[in-house]
Order: sequence, then structure tokens, then C-alpha cells
Amino acid sequence: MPHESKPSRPFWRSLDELVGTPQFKDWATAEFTPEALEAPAGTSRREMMKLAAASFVLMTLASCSRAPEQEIVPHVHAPKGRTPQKPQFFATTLTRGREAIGVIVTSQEGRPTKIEGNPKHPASLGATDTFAQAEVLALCDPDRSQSVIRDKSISTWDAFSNEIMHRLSTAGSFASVRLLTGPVISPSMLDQIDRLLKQFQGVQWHVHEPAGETEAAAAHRTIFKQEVQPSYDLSSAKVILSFDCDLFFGIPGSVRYARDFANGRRVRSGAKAESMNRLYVAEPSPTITGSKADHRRIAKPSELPQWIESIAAKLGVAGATDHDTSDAWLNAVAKDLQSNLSHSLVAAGAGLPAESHDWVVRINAALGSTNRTIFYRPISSPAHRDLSSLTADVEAGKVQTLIAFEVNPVYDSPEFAAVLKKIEWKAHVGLYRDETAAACDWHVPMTHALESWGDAIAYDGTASPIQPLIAPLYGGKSPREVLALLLGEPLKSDYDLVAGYWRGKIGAGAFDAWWQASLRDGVMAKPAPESSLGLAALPAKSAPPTTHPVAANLSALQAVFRISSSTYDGRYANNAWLQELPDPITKLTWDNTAWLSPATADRFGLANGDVIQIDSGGVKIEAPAYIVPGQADSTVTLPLGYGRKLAGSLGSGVGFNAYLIRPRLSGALALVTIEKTGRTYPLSTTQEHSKMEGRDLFRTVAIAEFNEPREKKVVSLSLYPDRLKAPQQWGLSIDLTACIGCNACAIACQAENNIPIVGKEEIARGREMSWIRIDRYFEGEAEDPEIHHQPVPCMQCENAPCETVCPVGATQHSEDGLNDMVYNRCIGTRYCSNNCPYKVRRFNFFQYTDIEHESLQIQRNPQVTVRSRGVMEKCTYCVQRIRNAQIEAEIDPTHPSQSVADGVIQTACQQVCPTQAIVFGDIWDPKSRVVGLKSQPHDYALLEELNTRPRTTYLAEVKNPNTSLAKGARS
Amino acid sequence: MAIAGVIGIVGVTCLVAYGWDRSSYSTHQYLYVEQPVPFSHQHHVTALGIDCRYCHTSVEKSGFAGIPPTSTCMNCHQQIWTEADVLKPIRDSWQQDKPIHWNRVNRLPDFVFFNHSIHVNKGVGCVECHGQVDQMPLTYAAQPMTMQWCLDCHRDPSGHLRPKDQITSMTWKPPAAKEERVAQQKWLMASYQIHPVGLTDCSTCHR
Repeated sequence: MPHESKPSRPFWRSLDELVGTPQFKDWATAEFTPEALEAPAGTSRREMMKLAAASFVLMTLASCSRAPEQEIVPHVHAPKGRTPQKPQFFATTLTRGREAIGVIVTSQEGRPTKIEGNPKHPASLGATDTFAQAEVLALCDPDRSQSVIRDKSISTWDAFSNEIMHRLSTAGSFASVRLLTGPVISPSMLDQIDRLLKQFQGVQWHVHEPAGETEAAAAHRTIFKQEVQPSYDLSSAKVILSFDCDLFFGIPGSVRYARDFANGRRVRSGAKAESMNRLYVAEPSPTITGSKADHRRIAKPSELPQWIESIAAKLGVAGATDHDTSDAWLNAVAKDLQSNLSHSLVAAGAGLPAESHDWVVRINAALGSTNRTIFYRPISSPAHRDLSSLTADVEAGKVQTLIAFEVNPVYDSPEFAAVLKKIEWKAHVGLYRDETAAACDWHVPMTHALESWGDAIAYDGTASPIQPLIAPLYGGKSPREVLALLLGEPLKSDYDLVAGYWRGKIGAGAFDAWWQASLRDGVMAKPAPESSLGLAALPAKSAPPTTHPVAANLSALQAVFRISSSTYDGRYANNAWLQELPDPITKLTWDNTAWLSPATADRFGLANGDVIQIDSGGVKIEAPAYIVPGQADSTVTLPLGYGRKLAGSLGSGVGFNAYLIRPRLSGALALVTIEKTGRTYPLSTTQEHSKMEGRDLFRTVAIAEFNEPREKKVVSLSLYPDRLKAPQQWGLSIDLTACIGCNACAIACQAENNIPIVGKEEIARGREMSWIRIDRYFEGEAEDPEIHHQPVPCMQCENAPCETVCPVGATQHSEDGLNDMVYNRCIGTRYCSNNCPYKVRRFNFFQYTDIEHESLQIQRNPQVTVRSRGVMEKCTYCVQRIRNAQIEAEIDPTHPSQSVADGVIQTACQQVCPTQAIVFGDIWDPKSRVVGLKSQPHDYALLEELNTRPRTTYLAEVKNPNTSLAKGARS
Repeated sequence: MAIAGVIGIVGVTCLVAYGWDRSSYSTHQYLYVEQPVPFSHQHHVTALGIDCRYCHTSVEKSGFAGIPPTSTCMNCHQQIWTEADVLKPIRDSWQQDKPIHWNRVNRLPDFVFFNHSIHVNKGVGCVECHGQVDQMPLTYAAQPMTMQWCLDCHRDPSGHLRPKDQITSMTWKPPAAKEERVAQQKWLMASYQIHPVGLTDCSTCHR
């Protein structure tokens, strides 16, 4: 691996950079942003001196304030088991669609402030995704619905319950009463629904999930004759082939999949190619899964079904025809799969038609993967139908009463708004007064998952409890309480309902001990998950062959619909952390865009931000175009989850609503035409911010060359003796092979360190506040690049350039190697940021932290200063965790120790990381994990030639390419 | 002349500001604080002999020493002085389940993260920062609690340590003889394993 400062391969971060446009050069070389040069006009030298003198005197006088009066308000009765100022930890579960992820919530003085993964929960293993991290903010969102609403005016729960009971008792036939929910994975709630359907014969239950895998479910129903939940075991898969399946994002189990995948790739000194798994991805639009592929192939959506069938044929699946006999890529992949029988896996994404999912089941059976790397777990639930059957029934005049729980079909199913109007009486239960709530007669505010009791079944069938961390902030009822009302059990509390269900399941005698253990562990030891179905005999293929409309003219593009990395299906639209989180691929914030390939954009004469009109069979929407390297030509990717009208004060009116033109069947191929409108739309992306001048920042190596001898590292010279004296010296290692670019670290850091959001306009000025940014690099051709991710926190340089330039000593070196930042000393000269070669310092240009909304204050970490305007801030290696752990070690009554054991301190980014790419520890302890990683041959430091001696170093990304597939054969 | 004037004005402003900042008016040192109940540490500690940790329960294990919940007061006061007027706020709090709002006596800015447990476990006695609480009929801050005052000890803690069993003692004094005192200081530093390295790091207190 080379160690000179010029990169050996062409790495680039944006097309503007690759081409070298004048705008990019201006942006990159400008010392100041245009705003910084706006000097006040017409101020004379004399006036300037007067102002300076006056401000000096005022500043001095301002420091003469007296310390503010404060109160201490102790409890009347001290809560059991709580020590003041000591965090408590509670295990619970967060759910989203069919995903259930076990978490451990940190509660400080009774307030949930931080969410960590539960190491005992199979879907988490200690990590979480971005959405779970942001749930603490969702909990205290001041825009959450706070009262029962009837016809736009405030009402009460009692009035609601009277009216609904009256309706039920006077309804002639219950067939006109419908329940509409999202997917239900809670056993106790399924039981309630089951009892409800039995008690009120005729009531029907409809399940609606805009981001659901309807086509896969349909295929599986045909094959298995029942509903199943597929799940993967990537830990035993040596060869993985994904057809547009984003394994590491947004699907049930994705956090676990990322861990298992990374575990199969942690190559260390001396490793051979056989010790690494291999990932092939064929997809129309880049995903984080595709960016980790050893071979990523760009495919149009229309090509994928045929490829899947060809792979099936190559693997000898009966009935399949090989359409691509001479396709080198498919041949090589099929051969690789075949030579790893029962250790290979083929996965298909939600956008593929049922027929493709059918083939994939057969392919996995042929590979011997069923029940080895892929499992089909039967799901038992009361009979239910979907939203389209509800629509049909309403049109037929069969529905008079509708109760909708936690769904927003008025937003995500455009035709449903008109349908809903035809229902005589409709009620909505949800966290927000959203589009559907506004269209209903009644709205009941719902409790957040951190405010209620419950239970959930994870992707692999493990059951886990949900317990509240705080009493409902805004009142509200859980869906279980509403169902209990219908069932005539209005006095039962949330707890009674959940515990009562499990008491019946477990038996009264054993219940208490089992329940306490379940709440403690966050996992229910019993009942064992239902075992997955075997595949003794697959039924003959019955799904109809896919027919694809042929593009009528050249301008027709194939549309790809994706759940958003920020808002999921739209439910997190009002979550500021997620809205401001840069997309892993485009690095865009606060917007969605129409993704186009460079060639397609060229064909239509489009540049980034040009507004295009997208026409799908007469339905037209407008969206800003964005050129995405690695996108398939003649396709357009439209992220869902934006364009909300009633999301809240932050999320309403952000982006465009792609649901408006999404075909009703998720597997159907959508053809659209696009047209340039001539207008442009400003976009805020972070991708060119904090540029490090194209030096050798990202390093990658193929496994075959991994063990080749390389040049010695740069020898660090210093005139000064090593001056640090503390017994433990902190350092961080980031494994770029493991990093999937999922952004979980960035949002965990935000939650842990009270990092504010700044908004779209400020991002455009380069003022984002994230302490850890994930740089995304492209490598190679603009049309088909490789994509890399590199998290960049503060390097905690031993020779820190920032420290030497601070005029007030606000940034100092600690004896244990941290680059301390002292907010109360900082006067905001920003010299430090200017002198930082890694551009990791962030400045509060304005009062970014929201100090007005009281509810937001409960989330803030009391162990970290809340910064105000005019203060520089940056990553501290979570110094509050270090110092607290040191105190704990020193006062430990049994083993008081000067040093903290390896692994006890985890930084927030490390703890959340699904792939354990980040390891923190003592670099002076030869046995610590971090030293083991830093002594690897592929360890390197960013800009090490500057002799800053960074404490954060990287392990170069190792890939495992198939030698029979040369680089040129990728497409 | 003008320059000297400017320098003079600036200098005087600085001096006044500095003087203000260090005055006990600004730091609240020695100033009694009104409380809803005129709680006397002198009475409870000296006359009754109650240990500090009976009320400040978490001082040895948490950053916060703990202000007793109403229930702690009522442990005794549902038996004695049950009718006393001064204790009415306590009884009201108990009966109405409403917490008492005490006024803070020892205050630190929000950007200072002080931790009681590490100090108490490393031999810093209560008296060191809070003074002779047993002599206070009404409680006041005995020390200025400025950064300079903190650093005096963090730079060299040896003169501020005492044996573990004397932490809460209000009367313990180090040996009078200098040699003996120095020997004890050395021994205490060693037995508590205190290495002043890093004690003055910014992030020791500011995070």
C-alpha cells in the first residue's frame, strides 16, 4: 500500500470535483464564504474604535453579573433504586413496520436521554440504526399531538369513548366497521384484535404498510400456503448475491445483517481470501449495501427479473430459462454461488415482482441455503386484508366506521383521501395530527413507544417486551388501550393488558419471575420462536411471468422508489436530527431529489437542482434533479417519505411526494417521462464541505495484495519529548472494511453530545454541526464508480494544530491525549477551525440550540454542556464517558484502580455501530483491542505526513473481488 | 495623554470588574440563604450528632451528594416537633405529595461537572469545601468556589487530604508538627493513589 501523499487511485467526492468545474474551484479555494465578506458599510475608523471600546466595557460589565439563584427540589419519597445524578438503564423494544429492535434506554433523573442497542437482543447485538437513535427526539417533539380532537376542536377521551361505544352498540351489522393498522408484530395486540374480530363478528381488519414487501409476501404465500417472514443468516454465508435488496438498511434485521456481514470480513494480518465473504449486488441505484459490494453491477429494474431467472437456470432450477448464457458477470456469480453450496445466499428487494421472489426461493433451495442462510418463519395472525380491498369496500358502500391506528394513508396512498371522505365516521389514533388525522372526524393522540407498555416479535421470531421510560408527556392513549375500550375493558391499563396477556401464556405461577427476567434482559426467554418452515417439496411455479411495458419512446425512464434514509416512509418527517442527517449516498439534507445518472442528465441537459416535471400516466409531480454516479441510465430514483403537508413545523412542505406517482403494486415497473421546467431549486448537500485537498485519504486494497509487504509508515519526528504522562492514553481505530456508511454514529453522537441542528440554509453555508461526518468517496469512472464511506471525527492530534493558534487557550491538550475543548473560555475567533487540517471543528454561528421548547430539554444529556452562540465545538471522544468511567474505577470499593479496563469505555459512535467498525481504547496498553487494530499492516493515519500524530487511525478497506471477474467485466 | 487616559479607563474597568467578580457578593460566599424551613446544621450535627451521610446519602457513590427527600425529614419529625410551625412546609409537602423547593447554597456554573464521590473517596473531607457546617445555624457557602480556588487544590491536593475514617469529621486536624504533617500527607497521597497528573486537565471539570 502506498504511503505517499498522492492517491494511487482516482478518488472523488462529487462530479463537480471530478470534472473540475469553475464553481467547485471557487468553493474549494475560497478562504471565506461570501457571507463572511459582508463588511458593515460606511463605518469609519473612528466609529470602529468607539464601538470596540464600548463593546469592551460592556463585555467587562457583563461579566460582573451575580451567579443566578437556583433551587434544589428533592423528591417527597425517593424513588426506589435510583441514586441522584446516576443514570439508570431500562431494556425495551422499538418497532417500525415489521422491524423490532431491542434497546437499552439511558434514563437520567427519570428522563430518557439516549438509546443504545441491547446486546442480548438478536436484532441489535448492542447496535441500533439511525431511526432508533432518533426516537428520543421523536418522544419530546413539541409538535406531537396533545389532545383529542373532534372536527377540528378539542374534545376529551370520555367523549370519544362514549361516541365510539354508542356507534358500536347501534351498528346494525359489524361488517361496516373496519380497523386499519400498520403491520402488527405485537403478540398481545394481535390477541386483542383476534378477540375483537370474534366478539364483533363481521368487523374486518386491514393492514397497510407503504414500505412493505407486498410482492415478496404474495410470492411466499403462494409457495408456503401461509404468511412467512423471511430472515437471513449472513454469518454463515460466504457468497451473497443481492438483487436490489438493501440488506443493511430499513428491512427487519438489517442491523444484525450488517454485523454478520462485517464479521465475515474482518481480515487481520496474514488473512487469506478464503477468510472473507464476498458480496455481489445488482441494483439500479446506489445503496449502502451496493457500496460494500465486491462487485456491484448497475441494472435497470426491467433487467433484474430476467437476470434472476437466468441465475435460477444456471443453478439448475426447474422451469427456468437462461436468457443470458454469455453474460460473464452472471456466469461468474452463478459459479461462485455453486461452489459455496449451503454457504451462499440470494436476496431480492421489495421493488421486484412476485415472480422474482418466487425464483429466489427456488434458487436458495437449489443452493441448499434454506434453513442455513435463509429462513422462512411462519407468522400467525388473524385474517386481514389490505388497503386496496378497503378502498373497494368503501366504493361499494360497505364501510361506515373506520378506526385507523398509526397509519397515514391520506399521505402515502393518494387516492385514499377521496375514499376516506365517503366513510361516515372515522377516527385516527396517532402520534401526530397528520394528513389522515385531519381528514378524520376524531383524532386521539397516541403514546410514544417510550411511554407505553407492549411487546414485539423480532425478525427472527424472538419476543421482547416494551416498557415505558416516562409517563406520557402529552397524555395520549396506546393503541392497546383504544382496542381495550372497544373490547369493553376500558379500565384496563396498558400494563394490565400486556402483562395480562403474558400471564395467560406463561402461567400465573411462573409469570412473575419470567416477567422480571424479561424486563431486565429485554428479551423473553420463552416462548421459543416458531421454527422456520422446511422446504421438503416446493410446489410447481405458479406466479405469472412478469410482463414489462416496453419504453414507448426514448424519454421514458424507469422509476425506482426507495424509502428515505431520513424519513423512512414519511413517519420521521418532523424529526430534525434525521432530516438534517446527510443521505449516505447523495449527502443531501432536508430534501429528496430525483436521482439521475450522469448520462441521463446529460441527455436532458440537466444539472443538479434543475427542477424537472415527472409525468406518470398523466399524474405530474415536480422534483429537483440530482446527478448520482452509479445510477442506471434511463432510470430515475425517487425517495419516498417527503412532501408531507401536515407533518409538523419542521417536516411540512419539505421535498416532494413521490407516493403520488408510485404504482399501487410495489413490484410493478413504473415508467415516467421527465421534462425540464427551466427553474432551479436550491439544495443543501454536505458532500463538498470540509475538503481535504485530494490527498491520500481513503485507502483500499484487494485481499490478494493484502499481505504484500508495504513501505514503512511515516516516522513521526518531534523536537519535543513525549510530554503526556497519564497512565492511559486514548485512541480510536476505524475499520473502513466494516464501515457501511449507515450514519448511525453521526446521529448517536448528536444524541449523546447535545449537538444542535442548523437547518437547510445554514447547511448550504457549510455550517453543519455534526461532530462525526461520514465522507463518501467515489472511485473510478463517473458512470460506474465504486463507493466508499469514511467516518471522520476529531483526530485528537498529539501535535494539534488547533491548540497552538487559540488566543485564549480554549483548546488544550489533556494528559491522556485528548484535545480538550473548553466552551466557557471560547470567544469564537475560529482560528482553531481554520488551522485544523481535518476540518472537524464546528462553530455555533447562531443560537442553534433550541432553548425555547421545554419538552426538548428533557432529552439533553446532563453530562455534556449545552453550547450557545459564538462557541466552537468538536468531538471529544465522549470525554464525559471517559471521566465518569475513570471515577467509577477509582472509587470501586472492591478493586479501586487508576486505570479503566479495556472495553469499559465505549464512545457513542462505537457503541451504536452495527458493524463494530469503531474501537476505542488505551493505546499504551499492549493488550487492548485498539492496539491490536492499530498494529495491523493496513492501519494508516489521515494526512500523517503533516506530523500531527492523530490518535484516530483507520484500517484500509479490504475488498474480496472475484479474480475471474476483471474490473472491466463489472458491467 | 489621550492614550494614557484610554489605558487608565480600561485598567480601572478591569480592576473594578475583577474585584467585583471575586467579591463575596458575587460569589455568595458567607451569605446566608433564605430557606422555606430554617434548617440548622448546627442543631442536627452538633447537638444531635447525625452523620452527614444520613441525609446526603449519595455523596460516596454519585456526583451529587443528594438533598434528602421529605421522607427523610419525616423519619424523625413524625415523632418529634410534630406541631412546630417552622416544620409546616415539611408536613405540607408530606401530606400533599409536593416537593420542597430549597434554595441552592453552593453553586457552580453549568459548565462545571463537579463530582462528590471521587473527592470523598480520595480523602477530601466535607469541611474542606463546605466549612464548619456544624457551626452553621443557617447554611452559607464557606468557600468562594471559583476556578482559582478549585485549582489551588487540584495542583497540589496533598494539604487537603485526611484519613478515610475522618471524611465527615468536623473537628479533625492534621498533626501540628510539620514533619509529622508532611509524612502524613505523603502517606495519604500514596495510599489514595493520587497522581496530580491530569488533575488540571480542562476536561477533568469541563465537558
